[in-house]
Amino acid sequence: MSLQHYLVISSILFTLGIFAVLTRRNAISILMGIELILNSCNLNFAAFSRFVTPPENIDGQIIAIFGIVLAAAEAAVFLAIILAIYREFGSIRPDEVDTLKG
Amino acid sequence: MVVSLISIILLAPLAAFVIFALLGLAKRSFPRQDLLSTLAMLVALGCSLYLIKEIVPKPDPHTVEWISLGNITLSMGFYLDSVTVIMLIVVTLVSSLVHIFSIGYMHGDPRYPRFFAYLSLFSFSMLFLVVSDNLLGIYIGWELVGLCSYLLIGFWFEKDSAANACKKAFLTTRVGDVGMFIGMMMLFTKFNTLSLYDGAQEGIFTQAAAQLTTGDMVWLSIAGILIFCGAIGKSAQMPLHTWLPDAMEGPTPVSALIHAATMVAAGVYLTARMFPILTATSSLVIAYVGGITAIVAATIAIVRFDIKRVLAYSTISQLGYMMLAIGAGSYVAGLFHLTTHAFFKALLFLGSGSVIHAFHAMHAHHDEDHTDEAAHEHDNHGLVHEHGSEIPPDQDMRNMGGLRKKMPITFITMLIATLSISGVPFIFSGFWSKDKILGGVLGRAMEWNSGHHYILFVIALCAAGITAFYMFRLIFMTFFGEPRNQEMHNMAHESPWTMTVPLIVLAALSFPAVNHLWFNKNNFKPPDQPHIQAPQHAYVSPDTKIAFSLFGLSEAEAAEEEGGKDTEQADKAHHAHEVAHNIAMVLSIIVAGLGILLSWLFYHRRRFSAESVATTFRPAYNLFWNKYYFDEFYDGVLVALTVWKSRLFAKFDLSIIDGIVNGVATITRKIFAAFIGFFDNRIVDGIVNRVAEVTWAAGGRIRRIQTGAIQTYLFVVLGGIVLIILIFRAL
Amino acid sequence: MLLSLIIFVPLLGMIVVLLLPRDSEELIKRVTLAFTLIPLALAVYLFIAYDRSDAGTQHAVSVPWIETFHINYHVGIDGLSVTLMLLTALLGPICVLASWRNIEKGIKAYMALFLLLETGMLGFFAALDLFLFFVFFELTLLPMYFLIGVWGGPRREYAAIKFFLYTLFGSVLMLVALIAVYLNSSIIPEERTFDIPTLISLAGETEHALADPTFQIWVFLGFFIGFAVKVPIFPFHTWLPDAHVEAPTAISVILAGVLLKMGTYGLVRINMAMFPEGMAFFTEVTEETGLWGYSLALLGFVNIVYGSFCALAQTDFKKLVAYSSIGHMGFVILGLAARNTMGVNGAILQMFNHGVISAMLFLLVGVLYDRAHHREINGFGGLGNRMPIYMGITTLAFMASLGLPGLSGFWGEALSLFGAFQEFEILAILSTIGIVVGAAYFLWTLQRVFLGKLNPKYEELPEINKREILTLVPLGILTIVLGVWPNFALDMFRESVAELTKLMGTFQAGL
Repeated sequence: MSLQHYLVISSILFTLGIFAVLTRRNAISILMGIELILNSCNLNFAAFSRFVTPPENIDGQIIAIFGIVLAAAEAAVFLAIILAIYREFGSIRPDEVDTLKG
Repeated sequence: MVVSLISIILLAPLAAFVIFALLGLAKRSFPRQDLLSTLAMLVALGCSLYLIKEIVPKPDPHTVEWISLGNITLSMGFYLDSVTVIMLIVVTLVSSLVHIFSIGYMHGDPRYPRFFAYLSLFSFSMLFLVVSDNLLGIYIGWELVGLCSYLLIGFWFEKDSAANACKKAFLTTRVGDVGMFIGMMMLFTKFNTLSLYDGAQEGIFTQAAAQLTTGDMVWLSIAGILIFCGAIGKSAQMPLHTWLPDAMEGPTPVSALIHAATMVAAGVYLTARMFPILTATSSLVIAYVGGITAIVAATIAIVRFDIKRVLAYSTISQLGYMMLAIGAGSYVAGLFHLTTHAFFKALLFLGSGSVIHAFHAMHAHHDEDHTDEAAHEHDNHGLVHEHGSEIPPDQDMRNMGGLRKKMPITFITMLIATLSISGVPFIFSGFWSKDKILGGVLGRAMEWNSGHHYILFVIALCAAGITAFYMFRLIFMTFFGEPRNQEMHNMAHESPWTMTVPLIVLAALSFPAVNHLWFNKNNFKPPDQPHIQAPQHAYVSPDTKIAFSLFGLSEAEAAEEEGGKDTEQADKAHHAHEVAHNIAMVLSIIVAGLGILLSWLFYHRRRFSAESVATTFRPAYNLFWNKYYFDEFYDGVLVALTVWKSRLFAKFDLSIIDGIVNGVATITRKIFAAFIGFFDNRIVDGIVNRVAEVTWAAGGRIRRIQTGAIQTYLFVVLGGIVLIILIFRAL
Repeated sequence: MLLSLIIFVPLLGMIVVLLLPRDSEELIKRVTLAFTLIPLALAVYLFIAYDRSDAGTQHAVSVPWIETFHINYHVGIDGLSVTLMLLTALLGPICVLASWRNIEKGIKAYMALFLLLETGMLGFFAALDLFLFFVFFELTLLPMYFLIGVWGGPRREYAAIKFFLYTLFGSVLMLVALIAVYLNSSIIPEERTFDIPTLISLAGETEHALADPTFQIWVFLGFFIGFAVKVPIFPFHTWLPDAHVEAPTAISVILAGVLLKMGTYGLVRINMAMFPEGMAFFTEVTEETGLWGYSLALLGFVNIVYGSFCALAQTDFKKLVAYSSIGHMGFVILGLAARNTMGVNGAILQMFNHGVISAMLFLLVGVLYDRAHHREINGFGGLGNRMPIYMGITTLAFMASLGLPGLSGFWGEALSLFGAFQEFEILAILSTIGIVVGAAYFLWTLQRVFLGKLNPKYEELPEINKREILTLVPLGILTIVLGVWPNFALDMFRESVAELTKLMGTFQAGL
C-alpha cells in the first residue's frame, strides 16, 4: 500500500462528501456529507504523516484525532441547530430555509 | 490699661449681641437677654466712668495696622481725649437707662429678646465710632449705627409705615454717607492716611495744618463739606432731615437712644472732631446748614400733634443748633449742647414713651376684652388722619390732657427737661449750653467782615423762642387742662419703676450741679488739637472756659490751659466775646420767656385760639403743616425719577442690548445660516445623497444573488475554488 | 504634586461616580461630597502653607505635554490663584449640599458633570501655560452648558445656548490672540513657547516682538473680549441674567461665585501682566491715548451704575441678584483700571468677596424658591415673622453685598474706589451712585419679602432647615471675618500685586 492508495480513497470520500453536501435535500444528509469530507481530510493527515515524515513523527495522526473530536462536536452543534430550525420552520430542508434571501 | 478698658467697653455689648445671634442660629430660646444686655451696658458704663482718670493732656493713639498693602497702611486704633470720654459716658449712660426703661416698656413684646440684642449691637457700634482715631473706623461705626437704626426703626415691621420708615432712614443717611466717603477718598489721596492724629506717620490734622501754608484751601474746603455731608445725613440736617420724623415708627426707647441722644448726635461729634480741617468756607456752609435746619424744623414742630413727631422735629432743630455752633467756631459749645441735649432729649422721649405706654397698656387691655373682629375694628377706630400720615391714637396729643395728676413722676421729670430745653435760666443745663451757642454765634458774626452773617444769630434766637413755645405747648396739651378723651384718661396710670427710675436719673442730669458731681475730676483736660484757622483759637477760649467750669474745672485752671495763647489779638477777641455773651444771655432769656408766655396764653389760658391764628396765616400754616413739602418733593421727584430711570435701564437692557444680541443671533440664523444651509443641503448633502442613492439602487440589483439557499452558496464557493485553481494552474 | 492632586481629585471623583449604580442616589451624593471635600482640605492646607512673603510661583510643576508645540503641563500658584482656588474648593461641597434635595432627575450625571466643572475651574486658576490655561477655560464651558441646559428652568435651552455661544465667541478671539502671542514669542520656531512666566518676562524686554505697543494693544483686545464676556462687562452681559434665572441654585452659585472670577482673573493674569503696554493704552490718559485712556475705567463705571439700576427695576429675585453681580463686578474692573496698589488689591479682594457674598445670595434665593416655587419679589411679604433665622441670614448677606463696613463687601468696594479715585476722580465719584442704588434695591427687596403683613399664602412656610444653614454658615463666617480683618485675604496676594504693579510700572514705592 503506497501513499497513492490512501490519496485515492481519500479523494473518493471527499468527492462523495461534496456531492452529498451540494445535492441532498435533507440537512442530516448534508451533515453526513460534511463528516465524509472531514474524514477524508483525517485520512490524508494520517497518510502523509505515515509516508512523508519520519516514522517517529506522529503529528498527522494527532491532528487526525483532533479532527475526529472536532467532527463529533460539530455534529452535536449541527444537530442542535437542525432541531432549532425544525422547530422554527417545521422542516429541515435547507432550500426551504431561505430567510436570508435578498 | 486704657486699651483693655476700651476693649471691655466695646466687647461687652458686642458679646451680648453675639450670644443672641448664636442662640438664634441654633434655634434656641433666649433666657434673659434683657438682663444680659443691660448688664453689659452697665459694665461699659462703669469702665467709661473709670476712664476719666486716664485722660492725659496729649494722648497717644493706640493703633494697630489694619490694612497693609506694602507701603500703604490703614491703621485702626483708639484715641482717648476728654471729648471721647464725654461721649463714652453720654452713650453708655443713656444706653443703660434706655435698657432699663425698655425692660418695662417692651414687656410682653413677641420679639422682646431681639430688641435688647439690637440695642447691644447699637451700643457697640456707637462706642466704636466714638473711640476710633481714624476716619475709616468712624465710617465703620457710622454705617453700623445706621444698620442698627434700620433694624430698630423697623422693629415692628408688620406695620407698613415702620417698614417704609426704616428703609427711608437707611437710604437717606446713605446718600450723606456717600458724600462722606468721597470726602475720605479726597483726604486719603492728598494725605495718604486716614488717621486723624499723628502716629507712625503724620495724621490728617497735622498735614492739613501744613496745607495752610501752601494755601490750597478750596480743595480742603470741598473735602470738609463732603465729610460734613455724612453728618447732614446722620444728624438729619436739611435737606436730608426727612427720615428722622418717620423714624419715630420705632419703639420709643429707640427714639430716645438712637434718634435723640446718640446716633443723630454722632454727626455733630464727627463735625466737631473734624473741626481742625474745617476752612472758613466749609465752616460757613456748616453754620448756614445748621441755622436753616434749626429754624425750619422748629417751625414744623409748632403744628404737629403727634407727641413723638414734635420731639423729633425738636431734635432736628437742636442738632441744627449744634451744627451752627460748630460752624461758628464754637465747637466746644456744640459738644456741650450735645451732652446736655442728650440727657434732656432722652428724658423727653422716655417721658413720652411713658405716656404712650400708659395709653398702650389700655390698648392691650382693650384688646383682651373683645374678639378678634372687635380688635380689628379697633384698629380703624380713632385714627386721626394727618394728610395721609396717621397718628396712632396713643401718640396724639389731642387725646391727652390733664395727665399731671395721673402720672406725677412722668410729669415732673418731663417738665424739668422742658424747662431745660427752653433755656430757663441758671439752674437748668440747657440754658448754659444754648447760651454758649448764642454767644458764640454772635461773637463770630461780629468778627466776620461782612455784617450780614448776623442773620445767623437772629435765626438762632428765633429758633430758641420757638423751641420754648412748642415745648410748652406739648406740656400744656399733655399734662394740663381737662382730659380730652375720658376713656383713655381713665385707663392711664403711672409707669412701673423700671421706667420711672431712668426718668428720675435723667432729670437729675438736667441740672448742672449734678453734672458737676459727675465730672468732678481734676485731671480733666481740654482737647488738644491743632487748628488751622488761627482766629478760631480766640473763639474757642471763652467757650472752653465756661464749658469746663461746668465739668468741674475752675476758671483759673481753664485760663491756665489757654495761657499760651494770650496774645493781644486773642485778648481783644476775648473781650468782644465777653460782650457778645452778655448780650446773648439777656436776649436768650427774653425770647425763652416770650415763648413760654405765648404758649401759656395759647394752650393753657386759651386767651388766643391757635385755630384762628392758623386761619389768619393760612399759607405759612400750610407750609409748616406739610413740612415744607420735602417729602412730596423727594417721593414725587427724586424717588420717582430713580425708579423711572431704573425701569428705563432695565428696558434698555432687555430690548436694546439683549435685542441686539438676539438680533445678531437671528441674522446669523436667518441669512448666514440660510445660505450655508442651502449650500449644505443642495451641494454637500446633495453629493452625499447621490452617492447613497447609487449605492442603494446597485444594492437592489445585486441582492438578487442572495438566494438564501445554502447549497447554492456552497456551489458557488466550489465553483470559485475550481476557478481559482484553474487560474493558478494557468499561471 | 499637591496642586495636581487638588485639580484632578474631582476628575477622579467623576470617574468613581460614573461607575456607581444609577439608583443609589444617596451613595452618589455622599461620594461626590467626599470628593469635593478632599480638594477643600488640600486648598485650606495650601492657603495656610502658602509663603506670604514670596511673590513668586509656589508648588510649581512643569511636565512636557504636547512637545510639537512646546506645550507644557505647567501649574503653580501665587497669592491670587491660591485665594481663588480656596474659594472654588469651598463652594464645591456647599454646592453639592445645596443640590442634595432639589435635583430630581439624573443625579448621577449631574454630580459627574459638576465634578468635571470643578476640575476645570481649579485647573484654570493654577495653569501657568497659556494653552493649558485655555484648555481649562474651555473645559468649564461644556459641563456648564449641560448643567444649565438639562437641569435648568423652563427656558433652559435658550439660556444654555446663549451662554455657550457668547462664551465661545469670546474664546475664539482669545484663541486667535493666543496663537498670535505664540507665533510672536520667538522668530525661531523651536524657541516659541506658551509658558506664561516666560512670556511675561519676554514682553518686558525692550525690542522684543511681544513688547511692541501696537501688537500689545491688539492682543490685549483679543484677550480682553474673551474675558469681558465672562466677567461680564457691559455690553457683553446679557447672557448672565438668563443663565442665572434658568440655572439650578447650585449652578448659579458656581456661576456667580467662580465663573465670573475667571474673567477678571484672566484680566489680571494675562492682560495686565503680559500686556502692560496694552493695559496702559486703555487706562492711562496721555496725549497719545487720548480718550481711550478712560475706556476701561468707564466700562467699570458703566457696569456699576447700569447693573445697579437694572437690578432696582427687577421683580424676579434671582434676576435682581444677577444684575447686582454685574454691578459689583464693575468695582473689580474699576479697581483694575486704576492699576495702582490700592485699586488692584481692592479689585482682587472684591473678586473673592463677591464670590462669597453672591454665593450666599443665590443660596438664599434657592431656599425661598424651594419652598414657594416662585421668585416674584412682590409675591411675598411679611416672611420675617415666619422665618426669622432665614431673615437674619438674608439681612447679613444683603448688608454685606450693599457694602456695609464691618462686613467683607465693603473692603473690596472701598479699596477699589480709593484706588480708582487716585487716577479717575470723576468716574470714582460717579461710581458711588452704585453704592446708594445698591442699598436701595436690597432694602426694597428686604421690605417686599420680609417686612409688612404676612402674606396669608405663606402662613405654613417652613423655616430654613439645618442642611441649608450648614451651606450658609461658612460663607457667613467668612463674610464677617473678612469684614473685620481684611488682611486675612490681603496678606495672601499683597506681594503678588506688588510684583504686578512693578510689571505695569505703577508700583508705588514709599509714599
